[in-house]
Amino acid sequence: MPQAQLLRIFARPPLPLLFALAGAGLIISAYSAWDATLPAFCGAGSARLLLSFGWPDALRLALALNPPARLLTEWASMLLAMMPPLLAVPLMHVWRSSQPRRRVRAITCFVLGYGCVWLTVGPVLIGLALLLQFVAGQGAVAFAGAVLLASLWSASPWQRIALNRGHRLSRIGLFGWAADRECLTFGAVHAVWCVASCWPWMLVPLAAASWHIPAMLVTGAIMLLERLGPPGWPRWRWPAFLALLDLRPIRVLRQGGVR
Amino acid sequence: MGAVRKDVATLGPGWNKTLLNYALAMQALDELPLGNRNSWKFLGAMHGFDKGLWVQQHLIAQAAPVPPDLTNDTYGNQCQHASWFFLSWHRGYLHAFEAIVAATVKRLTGDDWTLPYWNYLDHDNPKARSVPDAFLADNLPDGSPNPLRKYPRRPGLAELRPGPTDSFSLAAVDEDDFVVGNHGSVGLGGGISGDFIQFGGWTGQLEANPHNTVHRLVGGFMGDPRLAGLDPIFWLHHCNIDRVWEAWMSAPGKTMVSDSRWRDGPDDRTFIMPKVGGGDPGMTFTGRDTLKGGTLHPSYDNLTKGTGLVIPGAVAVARVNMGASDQQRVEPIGANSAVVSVGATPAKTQVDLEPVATRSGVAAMGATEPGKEVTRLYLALESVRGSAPAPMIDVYVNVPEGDAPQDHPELHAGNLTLFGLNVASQPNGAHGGNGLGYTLDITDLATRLTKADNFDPNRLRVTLVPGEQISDDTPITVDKISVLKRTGIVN
Repeated sequence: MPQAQLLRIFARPPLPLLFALAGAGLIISAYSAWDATLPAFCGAGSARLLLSFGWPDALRLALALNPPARLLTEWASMLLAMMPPLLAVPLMHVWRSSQPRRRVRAITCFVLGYGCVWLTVGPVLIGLALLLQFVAGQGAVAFAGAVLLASLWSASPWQRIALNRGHRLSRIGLFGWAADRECLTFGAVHAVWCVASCWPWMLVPLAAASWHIPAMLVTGAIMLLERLGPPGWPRWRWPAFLALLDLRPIRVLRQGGVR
Repeated sequence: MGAVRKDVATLGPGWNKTLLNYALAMQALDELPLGNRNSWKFLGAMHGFDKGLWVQQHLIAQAAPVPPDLTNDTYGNQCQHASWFFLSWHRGYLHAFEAIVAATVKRLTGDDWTLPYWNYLDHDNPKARSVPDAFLADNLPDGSPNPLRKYPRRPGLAELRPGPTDSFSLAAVDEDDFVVGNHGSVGLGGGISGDFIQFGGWTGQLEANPHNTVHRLVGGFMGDPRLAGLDPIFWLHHCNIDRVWEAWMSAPGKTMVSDSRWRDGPDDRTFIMPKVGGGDPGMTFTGRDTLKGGTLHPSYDNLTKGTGLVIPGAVAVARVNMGASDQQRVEPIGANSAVVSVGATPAKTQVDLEPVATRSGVAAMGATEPGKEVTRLYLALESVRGSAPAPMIDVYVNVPEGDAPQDHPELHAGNLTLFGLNVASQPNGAHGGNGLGYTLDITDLATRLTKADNFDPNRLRVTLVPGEQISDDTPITVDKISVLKRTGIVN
């Protein structure tokens, strides 16, 4: 009963809390979806502008209509909707490696490190999504291209290496600024491998225009499956999302302390 | 099986019938191709398999096809180490092996056969540590080459010769709980790994010693988990470890794990063993099947000699009982500040302690009055990594500046054989390269240091002394060294 097992595991701490956080991020994203700047900015409209006016003018116009601060806010809510369940194992590691009275502080530092990397990468990925629209010309083609790119990446040995490195747990000290720094560093390093393993998948919701929210949901599930699968030898393989009923993710959750 | 497993030392000298039949069966099984699930090599590959290494050791040819059974997450690479499945998985492994060898012996000679154990820590037997003669002889009685010494061991090995600091003992059985704490970092049986894990995070006390120690002392193929199952002495060694576990479970005051994840697990990959003949379906099992009343539960002729346990009816236990396993707490009260690397020379590090927690921990170490809080202290080595298969380190605490650690045996915290470190450290391995974890009980040492006024509740100085297989070319790293406080209530 794979589904039953999966549900049992997902019911164990800290996953309910992480799914709740993801749900909050999804609600925030959905609430602002009617005038969402991010998918519109990355969508076919911007591409048409670029095609009509040329790069510099179109980019200036697009940025005037879509303030960077708002783009970044929506990117942050997208991260909140997609990333928390992926962090179950490293968060448990940080929690259990820290003194009880310092655990909240340790988790905060880890999330800060993790979030900073993803927020920094955000503009690059948004730019890539825009470029994809520009090259594809049509929204549907851009979306299909993003899915194809992500699938190819998921089948590649390079993504396997990144996923393997994402399983690596770092030392977490017990005292003072040194412990905070180790949590921050662990969060940042984990985020780097996280970005390396799933960057093309983040382009999919950005290229999905009005299907932004459903695309986030599906993409988040795929990334969760990929991230929670056990490490393996780097080689070309079928993408993990083709084995949606594979039970191996359970194993990694449990090994990581989610039991 | 129903047959009673006996001490190999009681079966008679030299080529007694049991060992001669073992040799004949091994010879026959070793002639079968790797693809045969009853072949000697297939049985060994179930413990660990690495095609490159096996080709390098001339066990298989480069062009030889690898049976899918060894690579499709069924039979191959199943051994469980550094997790609470260590003992139960190896019990099932022994059961399948014994059945296949017994069937082969029956076919070849008509005799019944039962796997013997190597009782190397039987203090009543002065030759207990000697490798049984049949494993050292050049030839079988008929003059043909002896298969029991076919695979390499430590050069010149005739007996287990632990060094002066080797912790080759039965101290592990003093532990009263199979698993304690959220990680399972403390206990006889190994860390809570949840599901199938070839090399988990925390090594149980019985696995750490004498299990790992014997693997290193025998050396050769026994020193590498990817080859160990090929040496016929492996099975007698594990039979003894299994017997010590059985003795421990039968002794008063010991608490076996009752967690359904252990008893019914793992559920993401099933433990599977070949049946006699190797046909489908194989024999699947869980931890529950290995306990008393289960189909894989073995019988031994003796559970006291060489187990360190008195069974049954003994009232006294070696330690104060700390209460129910799940009511005990394990928490870190100190840690060092950086990753430690150990090469050819000793490495020193300072573990900073939380003084209030340490003082209260030290104060409660000797509690014996029922209902009172009692503590034990552990030195934990977390995420130990390296490229050697079974390196050894000695751990000392509070060695005076400028002194050689070896000059202070009274400050020796323990000795560790890091069996399987190479596999557990592979970045692309099944464990993500997170290495292995060990805990050393330093309660008695801390008590001695406190009495000698050599225990500072603010810090502990730790020295790691490299042993064999550790050098500047093959160093080990330890991500974190911490002090854990285990707290319970005197029962």
